[in-house]
Amino acid sequence: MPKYMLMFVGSDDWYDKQSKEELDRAYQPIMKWWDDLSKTGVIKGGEELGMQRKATSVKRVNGAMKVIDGPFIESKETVGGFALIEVEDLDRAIAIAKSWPGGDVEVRPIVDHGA
Amino acid sequence: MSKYAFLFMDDGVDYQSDPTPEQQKVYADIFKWFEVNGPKIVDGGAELQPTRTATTIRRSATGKVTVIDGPFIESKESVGGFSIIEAADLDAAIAIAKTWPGYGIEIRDVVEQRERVAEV
Amino acid sequence: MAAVFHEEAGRLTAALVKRLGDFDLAEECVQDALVAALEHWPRTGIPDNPGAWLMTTAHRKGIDRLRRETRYREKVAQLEETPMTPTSSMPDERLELIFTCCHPALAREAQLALTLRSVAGLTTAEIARAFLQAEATVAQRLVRAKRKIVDAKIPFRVPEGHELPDRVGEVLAVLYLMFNEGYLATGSRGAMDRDLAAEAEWLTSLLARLMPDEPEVLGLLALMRFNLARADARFDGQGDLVLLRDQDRAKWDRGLIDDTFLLVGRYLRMRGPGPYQLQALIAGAHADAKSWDTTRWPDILRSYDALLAFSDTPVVRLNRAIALWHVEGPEVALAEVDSLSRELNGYHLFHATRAELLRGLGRTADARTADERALELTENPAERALLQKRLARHSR
Repeated sequence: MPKYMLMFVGSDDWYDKQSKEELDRAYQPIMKWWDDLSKTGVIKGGEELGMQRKATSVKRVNGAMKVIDGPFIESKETVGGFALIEVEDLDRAIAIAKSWPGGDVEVRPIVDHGA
Repeated sequence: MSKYAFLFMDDGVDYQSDPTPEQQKVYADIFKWFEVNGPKIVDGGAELQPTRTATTIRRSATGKVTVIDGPFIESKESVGGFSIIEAADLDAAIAIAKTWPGYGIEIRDVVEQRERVAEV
Repeated sequence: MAAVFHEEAGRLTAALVKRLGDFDLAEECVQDALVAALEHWPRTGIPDNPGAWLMTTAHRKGIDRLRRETRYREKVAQLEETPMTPTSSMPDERLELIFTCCHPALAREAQLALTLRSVAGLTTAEIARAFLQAEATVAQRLVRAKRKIVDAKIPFRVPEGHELPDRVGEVLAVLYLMFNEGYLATGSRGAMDRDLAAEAEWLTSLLARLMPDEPEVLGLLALMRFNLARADARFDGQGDLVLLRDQDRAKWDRGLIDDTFLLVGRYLRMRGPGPYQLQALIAGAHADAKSWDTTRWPDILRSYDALLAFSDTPVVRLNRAIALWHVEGPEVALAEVDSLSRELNGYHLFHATRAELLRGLGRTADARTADERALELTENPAERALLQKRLARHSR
């Protein structure tokens, strides 16, 4: 079955504004979502990513790799986490993405390098 | 040892349609890079198809859900793949990232499994 | 030939998508067959069984294409093995095709172009002329859309029950946009070009045949038909636009209006109200009235109020204000319109509507200013001409 990458859109701003209690409350449905879909084998892997401002990037400039303190692309929104799912088609992938208890989600098919 | 997420960045050129010999060499070098760094790669992740194949689900403040053609950010550069690597520290991760034959990498921390507040 | 293409193109595409499992390839085969038909039929006449002719041709062209592209080798065997049958005896999978072409993961312009191409059988050139765009732009848009269908694996299916309302809404939005594009662009296309509004009506009619129990589909169809019934009265002798209030109602197609009221009856009995059904009731109320002044404005106002419950947008409120004028007077209506100024200040019809209300209140100087502002913001040539005439008429 085809695989899709779900990229969960987030922002450092949102995290900054949450109290510890609000954060814990927000994560409850997210962890349940993750558990349920992992158990049924839909989710094959994925991670939550740290804050965008704590990123470090390397970028090819004039042939050589330059180290940049910060994200690769300057933007308000970033990938806050990702999940690799295996489903029948894009409609199922969209349905899974719609069930995400957080914010916006980008759905992209992966390059299948083999069986 | 810590886990780091490598977001492999794309410069916006669609390689899949008709790679030049130069691009093909980069692709081959990337293949070798994964072989060489295999031991450090905890999760091979995946290579993503170009942003023209993306679909974004947007949620409004009122909870209305809309399906839209395209990636969540419209820009020339985009994420082309993910992998999780293990390195002693950030400096070690940066050193590995600098050997990447492609356009660039964004290195992010990986948030470990959160403590559950209430067991379900 | 247009009628034949209408019936056969969609069936053919759907059948080939099913058989080949590749939207892009199926689409290209059908396009080849239609182009071949355009070349041969003017000379040889339309064949007795056009569906079979197109199917055979698509089949042959398909095999040629497949042989040229190595990645399709298994598909060649598939095509060569299966026997060919005329499309009319195949199950009609055009509903699957319509939902695929109007998939929300495709951009709106792509949905429009793909539906016209795959379901209605228009050529790229015809689509380009209909939207006043370059053929290369439309061609690229179609290529991108078909590649996305294949690469992202957009499935060829009718959505399941719980997904259906949103997905039907998406299809209707595409068809309604198509209709409006055609309706407003009159006069800027060649005489031989396919009428976009007529295409939209045909597609909606097809959808109604394929989904006879969906009241919103019937609602949109009724809305389109009430509008089309006024077609002969929309332009005057000089080719200028005539507003609804000033139209010669003797020129309206009463037969079509009466038939469309039967459609309204059908969907009302289904008791599944929705925005398109309500907009059709409004259009119907106008169609039913002998004159602008004897229009049943309270009924129209009630329909707008119900419409707001589905879709409370500034534009709906603006259109409702005209009905409000006739029921509660111009001051109340003007106050309502003015409350929308922040959102609609850049919209030409906002200022045109304000102008009418101001004139109704005797504030001729303010009305003129509003009309001038509307003219500044209007791009459509027919609407510009209308506003210019109005300014000239009220220049004293």
